[in-house]
Amino acid sequence: MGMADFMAILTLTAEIILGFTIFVLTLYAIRHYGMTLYRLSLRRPRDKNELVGFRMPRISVLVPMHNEEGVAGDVLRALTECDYDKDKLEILAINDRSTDRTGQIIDELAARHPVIKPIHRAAGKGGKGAALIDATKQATGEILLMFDADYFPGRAMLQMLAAPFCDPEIGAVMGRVVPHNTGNSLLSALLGLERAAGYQIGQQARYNLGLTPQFGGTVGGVRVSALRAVGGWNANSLTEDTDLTFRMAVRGWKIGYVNRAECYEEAPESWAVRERQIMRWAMGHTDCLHRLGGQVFFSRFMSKFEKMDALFVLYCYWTAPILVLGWLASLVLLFTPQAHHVPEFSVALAFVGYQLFGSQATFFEMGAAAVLDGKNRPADLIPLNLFNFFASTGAICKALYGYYTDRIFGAPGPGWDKTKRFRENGFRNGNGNGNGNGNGNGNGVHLYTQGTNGIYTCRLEEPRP
Amino acid sequence: MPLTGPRVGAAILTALVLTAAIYWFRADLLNQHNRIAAAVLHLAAVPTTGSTHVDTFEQVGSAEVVLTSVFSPGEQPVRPIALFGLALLILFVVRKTVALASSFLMFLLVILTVTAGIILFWPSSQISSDEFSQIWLRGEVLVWFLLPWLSASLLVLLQRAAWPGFLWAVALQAYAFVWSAIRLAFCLGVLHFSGLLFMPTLWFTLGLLADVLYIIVFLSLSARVSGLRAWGWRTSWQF
Repeated sequence: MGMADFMAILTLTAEIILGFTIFVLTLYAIRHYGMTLYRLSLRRPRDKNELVGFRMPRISVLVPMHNEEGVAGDVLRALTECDYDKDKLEILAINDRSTDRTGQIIDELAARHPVIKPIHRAAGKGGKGAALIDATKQATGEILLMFDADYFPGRAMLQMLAAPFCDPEIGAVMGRVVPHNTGNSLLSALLGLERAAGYQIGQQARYNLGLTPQFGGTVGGVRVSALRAVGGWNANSLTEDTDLTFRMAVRGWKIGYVNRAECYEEAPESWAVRERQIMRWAMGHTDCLHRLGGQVFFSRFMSKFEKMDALFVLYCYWTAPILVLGWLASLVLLFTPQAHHVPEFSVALAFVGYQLFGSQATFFEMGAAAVLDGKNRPADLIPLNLFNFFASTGAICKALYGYYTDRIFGAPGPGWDKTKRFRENGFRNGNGNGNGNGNGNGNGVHLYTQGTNGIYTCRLEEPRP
Repeated sequence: MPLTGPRVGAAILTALVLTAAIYWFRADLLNQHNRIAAAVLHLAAVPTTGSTHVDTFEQVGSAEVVLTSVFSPGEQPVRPIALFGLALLILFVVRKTVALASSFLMFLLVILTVTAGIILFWPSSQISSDEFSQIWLRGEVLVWFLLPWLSASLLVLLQRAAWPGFLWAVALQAYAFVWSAIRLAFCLGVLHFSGLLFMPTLWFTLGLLADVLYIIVFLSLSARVSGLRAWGWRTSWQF
């Protein structure tokens, strides 16, 4: 084989890869545009929160905590202050093998609030999934609601999440996650925009269209009977929430989404933490794809559109390596003189059109989310998300490389990794509803204030002399 | 705020009007584009050697482009080596400092290194200024034709009324046109002083990626203005 033959094969291979990349990413772009435009049309099903005040179910609130002494008190106090019939409420505070003061804080609060029931796990498999399995055995509610330890549920949160379960087809419900620390770092601000697009547009559009919104494992709830019907929690999954979402969907359970049930979380403030988080999501999500992709495809209960959308969701992390392959193919074509023939106008228009429309799809979601939320300042940061996009693409490729090499060589794969908390000082009033004031340990005070739009902002005040 | 039929109709009409205007005035636009690029080169004291016509697409016609001489590595071999070393150093330092930009800069490093390798092993590899301008215009002309449709979806539909959306679309089109000429002039200047070395990297960063970036900036600004008018509203349509 001569040099000319080699170059011809190289060019053809690069063109095929580029064509495949364009095809896949165009499908995703069409999905993003479709959902954003549908969301902007404001068509939606009846709000099930109109049912608040009718027969409300008995609920068990599960809060798994592993070394959460900095935040444990805040979330538990906030939950005790929620508006929900206390006779129908129990809060299971799970101390998952903590080595700090988490267990002590839980016991102190349980002594003051009978609604809090401590569960101390000293042995057994670690991780959120395992903690949820243990707690579910002890729960007495018909519905389980889950919150991570760094969340600030508002007073009406439990009612809003429990109300949709009046519909017997609903197996799980998801609320909206809003980062409260978007003022602390550029990354957390960018992630705030990303979350807004994901929930205000993606989740809400999927719910409105009768597709499957994703249950996120926190700020959400599951019906105990549905959970049992699909085999319970999967402690081996890195993303037990995605796993449960699709196990429920393939068996005909519907997932609800309550956009107004906004709960404030802590977004990663440093890239190292974000990288670990997105790598865990990518590996867990892709594992769900391999275990559940076939079941989704052959499900008797899901419509064609539901299946198509579910497969888009399950395959979403694959788009990162496909995109990188497309870039490398473009690079090969750029340096290959054989590929520099005069393009047809229509073909060139389609190619550039894909580049422009495809790349804008997620940014359009962010812009639409900012407008729907009535938030103007965060919109300024939309262009900087381009860097977040490149950085996430690199991290996802790294994660999938690790995942597939582990699969090929039979390695056990990574264990569950808790996302680092940046809030260590806590809320003084701790209810997450009012004008919160933080306290400090000498390194400054975190002041949390709630704006008129309901969003918390956090700023660090220097310690007083 | 809801996306209604008339608003979608207004967006499509905006796109049709702008596309027709670009097609109708395409020859004038290409002439003006070349005049701006030549003026920028003149201001930057980059010597030009006249002009020539290059073909873009059959449907668009040919365009006049300014010519510049191109640096050849054979003339002063130290210059490309020094520039390559300096560029690598800057990219590595920024990559170490700005974690968020790490993946993006890694890709630039790959392009730059591959280009340096090509120059080293195939020293005859070169690109003339008219060839580069032709490649540039083929990309940008397509962008100008597509922008009205992008504006229709990104800018017009996000506004609370159709007319601000139309103004945003016109502003984006004007910006795209002038910014394209300035970027082309910059690339021709770099081609004149350093030859092929940086051209693929510049084509990647200042080509379609730069187009993508300013479109996002316009989206961000228009969303800000639209969001400003909606700020503080938490009515049912937002949930």
